[in-house]
Formats: sequence, structure tokens, C-alpha cells
Amino acid sequence: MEDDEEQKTNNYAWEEQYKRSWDVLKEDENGSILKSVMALKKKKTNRIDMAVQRGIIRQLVIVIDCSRTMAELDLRPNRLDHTLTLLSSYFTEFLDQNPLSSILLLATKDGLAERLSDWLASPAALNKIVSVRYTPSGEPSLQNSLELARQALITVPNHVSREILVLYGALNTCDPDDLNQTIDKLKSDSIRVSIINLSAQMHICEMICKATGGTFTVVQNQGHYRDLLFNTIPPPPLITKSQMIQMGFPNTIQVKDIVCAW
Amino acid sequence: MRDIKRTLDAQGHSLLEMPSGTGKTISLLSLIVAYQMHYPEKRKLIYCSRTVPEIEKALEELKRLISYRESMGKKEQFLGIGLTSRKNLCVHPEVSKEKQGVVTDAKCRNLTAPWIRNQPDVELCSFFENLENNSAAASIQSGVYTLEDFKEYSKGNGFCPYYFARKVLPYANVIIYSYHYLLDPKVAEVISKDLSKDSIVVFDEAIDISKPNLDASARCLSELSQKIETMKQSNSEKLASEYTRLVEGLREAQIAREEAEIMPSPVLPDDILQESVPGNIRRAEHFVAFLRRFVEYLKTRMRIFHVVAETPVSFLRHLKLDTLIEPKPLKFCAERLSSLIRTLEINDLQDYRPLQKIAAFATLVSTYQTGFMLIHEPFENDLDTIPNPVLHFTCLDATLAIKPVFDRFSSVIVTSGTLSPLELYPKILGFEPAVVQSYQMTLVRPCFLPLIVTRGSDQVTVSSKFEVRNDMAVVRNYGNILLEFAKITPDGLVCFFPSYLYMESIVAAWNELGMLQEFLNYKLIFIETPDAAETSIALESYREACDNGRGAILLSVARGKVSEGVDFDHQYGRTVILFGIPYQYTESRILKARLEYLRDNNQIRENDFLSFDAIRHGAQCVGRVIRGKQDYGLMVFADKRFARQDKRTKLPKWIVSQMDDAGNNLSTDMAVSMGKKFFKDMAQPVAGNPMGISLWNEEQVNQKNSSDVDMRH
Repeated sequence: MEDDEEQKTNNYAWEEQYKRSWDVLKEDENGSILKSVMALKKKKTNRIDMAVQRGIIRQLVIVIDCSRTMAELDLRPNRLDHTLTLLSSYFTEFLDQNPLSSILLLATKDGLAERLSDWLASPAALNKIVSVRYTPSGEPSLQNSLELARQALITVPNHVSREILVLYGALNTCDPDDLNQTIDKLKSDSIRVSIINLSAQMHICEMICKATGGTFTVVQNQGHYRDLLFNTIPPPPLITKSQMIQMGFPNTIQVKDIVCAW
Repeated sequence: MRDIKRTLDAQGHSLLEMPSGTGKTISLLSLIVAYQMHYPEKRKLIYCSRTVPEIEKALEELKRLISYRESMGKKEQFLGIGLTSRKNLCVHPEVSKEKQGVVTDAKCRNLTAPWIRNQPDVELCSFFENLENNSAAASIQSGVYTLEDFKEYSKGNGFCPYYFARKVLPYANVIIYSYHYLLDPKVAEVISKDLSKDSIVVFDEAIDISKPNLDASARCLSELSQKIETMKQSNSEKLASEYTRLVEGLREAQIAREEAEIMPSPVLPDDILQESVPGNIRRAEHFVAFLRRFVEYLKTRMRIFHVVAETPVSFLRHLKLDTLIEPKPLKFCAERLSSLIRTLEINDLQDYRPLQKIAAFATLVSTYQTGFMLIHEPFENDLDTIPNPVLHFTCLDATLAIKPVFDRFSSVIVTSGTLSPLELYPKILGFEPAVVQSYQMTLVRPCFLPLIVTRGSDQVTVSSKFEVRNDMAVVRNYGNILLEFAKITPDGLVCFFPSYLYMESIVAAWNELGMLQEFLNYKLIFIETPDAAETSIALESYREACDNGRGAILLSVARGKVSEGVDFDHQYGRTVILFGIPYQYTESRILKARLEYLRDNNQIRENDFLSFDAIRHGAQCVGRVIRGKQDYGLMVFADKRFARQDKRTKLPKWIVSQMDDAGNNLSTDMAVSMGKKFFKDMAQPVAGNPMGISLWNEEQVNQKNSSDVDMRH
């Protein structure tokens, strides 16, 4: 109703009521605005806070796009450097929250994909690799990087949750073959692919994420990038029902008659 | 929907403008079908569309609608069919292989004409024979048949789909076909004469409705035939018997033969005189000599080396002065020729086509005194030195062909996505609409962003104006615009140029500058050509490139096949760039004659008409990119003339409402940064609730209904 009233008055912008942004936040009884701030924050991150089965043991492959579109300056200092800086804080957080996981790094440039590291579980080792400043060049190749990641992931046992996270900056991909075949293979190997694109929404990226059960998001600015990246830290719900593993926690037994020595 | 119902209740005509991709077809169909089923009179619906793909799309929508109605529990007897040319419906193994429609028609007639079938051991079309023999048993169950379904069904029963469709027409509730079957006098007589007066007619995508009118009545001669001698050598017995028949005015024997349309009359049914053929062309020899004199006169006229434009009246007067040919016998030329051909039982009608054209021309010239113009052009362009004389006989008045339709049917609905200005249309087409409405889109978020780019990064203004279009700076700036937008657009990008010539010259210039190589670094390039097969291959490859992430640019022309028929929804069109304003070729004499006629009769200024026409086509191209509520796209108008108030206001309302001052008069880099932000915003998941804004549930509909009823009281 308020919208209708506002639109009916075809006044100039200065004649309409000035919207004070600080009025949007409403104060609590105690004077704290924590609740309204949390409400604003909740809009951005929709987390599934239901009781679902999540895979705690994760093997994550991170594919970093090193093509020439990553040399753009819309994220400071340039996209690639910004990504690498973010990743170093990401590693610490991720390995802290998921202690049973490990990460592998891939880079794609000049139409090829190459391994930057092996399966590592220590933030220090990963940071050493990421602190090298790479020069962006050439075209990225989605298919090559996904194939390479897939080969690294098939050797991993079945109970582990296999994931690929692609940080993509370009709007096209230079592939040798049909990408749909790769998607089918990924689906049959139950590998979950999530893509974060720094430019715009690409149809093929959406298809990949939808088919494998991952998420596709596009970054709007630096803060948003950090939020999206850190959203991948909580383990996602499982695709396949894997068997449960017995963990060695001590059981407590209720004993009826206690005969104490003391 | 309410406006359509009002039109139908009021038994009047209406003019509706709805933005493209907003479900125009389905809302029209659903309301009219519900209206039909509700009232017991069972009015027929005739849905006229422009191209065959559109007819197919409409048939599919109708099919989904009927199955939805059935799922809601309404069991009805409903028959919906579509009709197109023989080329699309033929199932004869040889005839259907022909590429050109005219050849298919001629071959089909060769197989199905009545006298040919009476001859012994001649090869016949088995499908047609089957249909003729079982004509009583041939029926079709109720349901909606797309063109493919219909072909399969008829083929299964061994019937010819084309003639079967024509036979079933009277029993159908909904008929979907192209404009020609209703407007072209030649065809309309045969196919549409049985349609009752209270049928509902819908013209969809009606922006070019004046064009079919004009084509239907225009004749263009460029060569003369020598067939008269061959005719003279034919059987004289038959000619003698024909003479006796004509003298006694007997027509019974002819009626059976009139079923076969050899050469249908080119004039409108009301204008044929109900008299018998005049004396001096009754005998076949006299007629042939008469025709010969006429042809000789035309030959001498064509030898003139300067441009002549004259009205039919003056042409007839000159004709009379030079050759003593009266106008009255000329009127019967077409009829006489067709009856002569029938009598002589000539088999190969292909060869006589030029002669048929001349006879049709003669009939038209003598029947219509106003609204037509004869233009003689000795050279094709003004720069040629080799004479290639062309005689144009053009129709200037768009109302001639469509007026009978408006008079005959009680409810005619004309719709399109781009009908601005709405006041101009009734004047041009000569009808009084009961309801004139223009709708806008209801959207949760603004799903397209129109940007007007008037200058390049070096602040040089860009335009496709004739004087500046070959200027190197403009060419470079246009190339730059394309390059920058290719860099920021995901998947597919479509470009529209004003004409083929301009597109070819600018692409050649870009090649010389080395810009084409730069484009290829970001996206593949596809181009539309006048050849239909090549264009469809290009389109297919374009779609494949958009699907698998390689990205592609499609260069096409604003008045070509792509801009009129093909949709670029979702990933196939994320950006559309309109290079310049797609004006028609303003030096054409036919156009000039038409503009003069409009100025004199309808008080429409030439400038207004031309710019409206151009911007309408531009909006049509640009609207190809939005096809649904989830779709989004960027629209770039790259010409400095768009920033002016008079051009900008001529765009349809639904585009202008999304334009704000920030999107006007931009340079390339400013536009690119706005585009980047737009894509990032659009890629986020949709935030608002569609309920209440773009989707209504049942109680909201009832609420709106009751609030309107209150308002009226």
C-alpha cells in the first residue's frame, strides 16, 4: 500500500519525503539494534539450518582462474591478487572448521590446467603456495580444470565428500571437447562442483552446478566475495548416503549396583 | 484479458499493444477459447500470424491450453488446426522435395488438376486421390493438431495434408494460418469464403499488416513473354466449342472446373463485374490478338529512358490513344485467360506465368482508379548504365485489401509488441477501433536495462546517418562499442544493423582495422545472410556456442528474417545492440509515392511516418531478448539520434518506462560500467516475492474484480 501511495505522487525527487536510512533500523527495548542488524544480515546468507546429514570428511579442490580477465582492477589490487589474499585467510578458517579435510590447488591459464600443490592439510603450506604472485594470461579452460580435478578426486575413498570449488573470472571457456560429457562423468562420480563467478552469470556454469548439486553465485563487490567464499566453509548436505563410520569415542555405561571400594 | 472480452461483447474491433515475451499468445487464446465455449453460438476463432514458426508456436500453446482445460475437468469437443502453404504440408515423395514454394504449387497442380485426372494413364498423386475417393469418410477427431501432428495423421490415413486441412476448415473451432489466406484476394476467395460473419479474427504481430496488403495487390513486370504464338497453334476445335459456350453465357460446365484455381482473380470479390465477357474478346483468336497488342504497347513503354510515375487513369488514357484498347475488355483479361487455359487443358502452367502476370496487371489497372501508382524505372539503381527496365505497379493504400476483412467480420483484434503510435494505425488501416490499449510489464525486478550510447570513448558522436556512416572514426567507435560489450556479456550477444549493405561495408572496414580478430578473442562471430539455409546453420551454431560456454556474437539485419521470427531468450541473448536507426531505403520511388499518398489522404507527415516505422522495427528487434519473467537482458541503442526527445518518445511505453536520465546520452565506457553492474545484480537470486506483483492467486483476482465493480458503481 505504501508503494502505491508513493508512486501516485509524480513529484520531483526533492519534493518527496527524504528517506533516512538510519530510520530503517529499529531499536530494541534495551536500546540495542542487534536484532535489526541480524535481520539485514540474514537476508544475504540463507543457510539451511535444518538437521541434515553432512559429510565432515571433505576433500576440496580449489581451481583458481589465472586467465587475463583476472588482471582487471574491479577488485583491489587486481582480481587475481585479491583472490589469493582472500584464500590465505580462507585456508586457515576452513581447516579450522573442517579438521578432517584437505585441499588441493589447481590453476588454469592459456587453455590448460596445472596443479599448484598436492593434498595438503596445513594452512602454512598452502599459504606458501598462494603467496607466489602469478601473472594472469591467456584463456581459461573449464573442461581441462574439471577433468584434472576429477582425476585427483577419483582416488579418494567413497565415504569422503568430494568437492570442487571454482573461482572463475572469465565469461567464456576454451575447451577441447564437449563439456556435457565432463558433466556426466562428474555426476556419476558424485563430485559436487560449486562456482563463484566474478563477472556475470554464465549458462554453462549454472548447468554444471545444477547437475552436480553445487551452488553458483556471482560476486557483486569485495565484501560480497568474502561472504560467498566463507559460505562454503560449513559442510554441505550429503548427496549420497554414505555409510557411517565408527568413531572411537568412549561410551558411558549405566551400572546399576555400584560397589565402591571407597 | 478484460479488454479483449469487452471487444468481443461490443462486437467491435480493437488495437492492443503488449510488450514482447509477456504471454500475449496464450492470454489471447485462453480468453477467446473460454469465450467460445461459454456462449452457445460457437463462434470460430481465426488467428493470423506472420511466419510459419509463429504458427507452430501458437498451435503448441493451444495444445497446452486444451490439455490444461481437460485436466481442470472441462470435457469439450474442440478442433484446432493450422494451415500453411503446400511446401510445408506436402507428403508426396517427389513434389515435397522442391525447394521453392512456387514450383511445389505448380507441380501439385499438375498432378491434381481435374482434366489431368480425367486422362487415362497419367501419374496421379495417390494422397489426393485417396482423399477424393473417401471424401465422405474423411474426418478428424477433436483435438489440437500442430502441423507435424496433422501431417502424420493424414499420412497415416493416406490423405494429402494440404487438401485435407482445407476440407476440415469448416469444422474447426480454431484456425491458425498466415495473413495471406485472409488478405490476399487470390487466395482468400478459395479458402476463406465460407467463414461466417461472427467469427473472431486476431492479427498477431501486426506491425507489417500493411505490407501484405500492398504485396497482394502489386505487380512488377520485368520481362515479356512470347507464349502467344504457342497458344495460337492449339486445337481449334476446342476453341470453337468454347466460343459457343461463352456466347450463350453458359457457365455450368465451367463451374466444375472452377474448383481448380488455375489463376484466381486478382481483384477483390466485390469489384468483379457481374457481367458476361465483352464481345471483342470472346473468340479466342480475338483475345489472343488483343493481348498481343497490349503486350506490344507495354514493350514500347519500357523503351523510355527516364523515370515515369503515373496514375492508372492516365495510363489507360494513353493506352486508348495509342492502341484503341478500351478499359472495359481489360477488366476481363484475367478471367478470360484463365478460362482459355482451362479450355485448352494446358498442362505445364509454369511456362505461362509471365502471361498470367500481364493479364492480372491489365485487370488491376482497369479496375482500380485510385490508390495505385505506375512507376517505370529504366535502370535498377541510378548509377547503372545498362538499361534494365522495371515497371512497378504498386498499391499505395493499405486499406484496400483489409477493408473487406473489417467489414465482413464483427470482431477483429490487432495486436503486437510495438504498435506505437496507436493513433496512427487506425488511420492507415481505415477502421474504427472500439478498444485501444497499451500494456506494460508487471515485474518483480526491472529485468532489462535500456541504454542510449551516443558517443565513443573519444567523444566522437556515432550514428548510422547516411553522411557519416563511412567515416573512419564512426566505424572505429562502433567497433569499440561491440568489443567492450562483448567483453562484459556472458553467453550470447545479438547486433542489428539497418541494412545488409551497411552491415557488409562495416564488417569489411572492421576487418581492415584488425578488430575482427579482437572480437574473436572473446566470442565467436556469426552473421546473417539473405540465404535462408545459411542463416539457419549460423543460428544453430550460435545457439550451440552459447550453450557450451564459448560465447557468440550474431550480426544480423533489422528487417531480416532473424529479427522477425527468432527469439533470443535467456542465454541466447543477454545483450542486444541496435547500431543506428533502421530506416527504410528512402530513395525508393515506391516509398516516395506511398508517403505522398499518405500525406494527401490521411494527413500523416512523411517524417513522422518514416521515423515511427524505423523505431518500431528497432523496438521489435530489441524486444527479441526478453522472453519471460525470469529472463533479463541489456538493450543498447547506439546512435546519437536516439538521445533526442522526439526519437526517444517514439519507443514503446514499456521500454521508455525503464529508461531514466542516467541511461541517456552515454559514452561507451559509461555504458559499459552500467552494464557490468546490471549483470552482477541480475545474477543474484530473485529477492522479492512474485505474489502480489507479477503473480496473482485466486483470491487476489477476485479482490481486483470486486474492487473494479465497486469503482464502476
